[in-house]
Amino acid sequence: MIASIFKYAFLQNALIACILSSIACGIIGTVIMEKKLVMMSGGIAHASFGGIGLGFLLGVEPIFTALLFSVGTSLSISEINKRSKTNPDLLTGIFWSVGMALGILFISLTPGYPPDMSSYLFGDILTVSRNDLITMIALDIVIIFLIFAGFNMLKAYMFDREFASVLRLPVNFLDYMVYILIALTVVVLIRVAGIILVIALLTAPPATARLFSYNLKNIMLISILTGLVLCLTGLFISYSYNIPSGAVIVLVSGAAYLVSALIKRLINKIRLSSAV
Amino acid sequence: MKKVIEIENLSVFYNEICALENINLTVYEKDFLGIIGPNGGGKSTLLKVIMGLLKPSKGAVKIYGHSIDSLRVPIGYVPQFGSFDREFPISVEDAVLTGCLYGKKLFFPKFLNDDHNTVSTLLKELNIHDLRKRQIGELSGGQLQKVLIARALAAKPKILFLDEPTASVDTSAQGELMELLKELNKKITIVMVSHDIGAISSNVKTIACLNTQLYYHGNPELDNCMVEKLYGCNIDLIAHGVPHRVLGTHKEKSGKEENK
Ligand SMILES: Nc1ncnc2c1ncn2[C@@H]1O[C@H](COP(=O)(O)OP(=O)(O)O)[C@@H](O)[C@H]1O
Ligand SMILES: [Mg+2]
Repeated sequence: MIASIFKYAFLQNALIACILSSIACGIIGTVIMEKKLVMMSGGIAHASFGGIGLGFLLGVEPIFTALLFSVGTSLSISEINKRSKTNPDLLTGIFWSVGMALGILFISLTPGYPPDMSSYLFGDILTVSRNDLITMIALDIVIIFLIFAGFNMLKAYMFDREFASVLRLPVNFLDYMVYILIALTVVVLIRVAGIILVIALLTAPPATARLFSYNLKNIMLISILTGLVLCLTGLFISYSYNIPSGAVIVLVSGAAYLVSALIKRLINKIRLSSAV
Repeated sequence: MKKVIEIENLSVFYNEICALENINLTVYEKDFLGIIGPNGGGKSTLLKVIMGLLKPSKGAVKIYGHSIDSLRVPIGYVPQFGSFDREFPISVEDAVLTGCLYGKKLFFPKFLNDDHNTVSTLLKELNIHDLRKRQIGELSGGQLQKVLIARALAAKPKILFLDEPTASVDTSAQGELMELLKELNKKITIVMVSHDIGAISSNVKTIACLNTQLYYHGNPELDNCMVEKLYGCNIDLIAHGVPHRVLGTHKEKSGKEENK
């Protein structure tokens, strides 16, 4: 595979996509985990299917319309939740399925042969294009800047929004920032893991990192590294055995979390017995 | 004396439930106000409206003559139940340090040496300095309570709100906390909620009795009738332990009458 990397542009792209998506996943995944927004993020991913359908119908780049849908969904859920105190879980469920239904509707209205949706549903890192990479780089720069520069505020806000609000910290701005960043991340990752599987990329690395650290910054860094290792392993297996990359990466992630949890238990046991 | 908090005709509803009805209350500078009342009496709700965490359904709240949104002084808040996740990856020290973020800018807020010193001093004063590296979830209820108090004080507040701060700390720590609050009270205004009249009576300067309506506001001298009205018949509940100043002789009605 190493030799092929130098030969084939698509492999180089896949490799770069791995690095870029690990950065986004590690940082935003940690935020999602700590703010307990996993289901909402899954909902955003699925709702963006509506945008992809719309893209095909209008003949524009599906990722752009998907972005509109995901940001729209994310902000709508948070706004409706703020104003009416409706359970966010319920809202997520509604947006999730309505978005998917709209996608199916739009695609059925699209003239000609129905387009192949599998790369959007399941992801294919081996078909990531130059344009996709540019979008990913832009997103990573935005994420890294906002999170790095606003880290202390973000941490206070994530820890206790109510107290942050009493201190007059900009909690509303942080709400928008977090929700929009999640929406952007989810859509950009669709190219790598697909709508259905993207949530695994956002949860497995931080969940693994959480086993080994109680420090927010370290959790983010460990998540990035974990994500990178998982993604590269997945890519390698996918390329060698010709299995869809999204599925392999997710399976590898699930297995890694399981193994890490077991290792952690083992370490705890050894510590306990040596302490006695 | 300067008015710090002015509450006019305030009512708060949670959907159909009326938590506060037509409250009028003025708190003056350097007051130490104790708010007592039964469970569900609206004590926490009152604090939250004053701090702007809840919007009034009717009426208005002003702090230093400003609406809460345009307020430019730091407020300290010690919540009754932390609204946060105890598993959150943050150390005691860092949690207290978040109090120092008041007035700092969103991007690249710098913690100064002064901030670290403030935190360190507070941790020592509250006897939790040796816990400073612990994750917030690895504390007992009382220890966590102290962390929340330190965090509120780290903001160097002009007004401090405490919601049942003594509920889970042991007796000696309660005493220390009261001493600390009295010392702070020389410089700042304090509003403290408690359902334990004993904890409040001997320390506060004024007292407010709240059960949806404001039944009494004035000197911390209550008669049994007042308490009975407020709590129903459960006087036992309140008069446990040593007799309190609160339950003054009630042959003659002491204290001021209710200002309903
Ligand atoms: N988030 C909420 N939603 C609906 N009702 C609430 C909520 N919080 C408090 N209440 C109701 O408002 C009343 C006052 O509650 P609270 O202010 O917490 O009382 P206290 O702090 O004096 O025990 C209670 O009847 C309670 O049931
Ligand atoms: Mg309460």
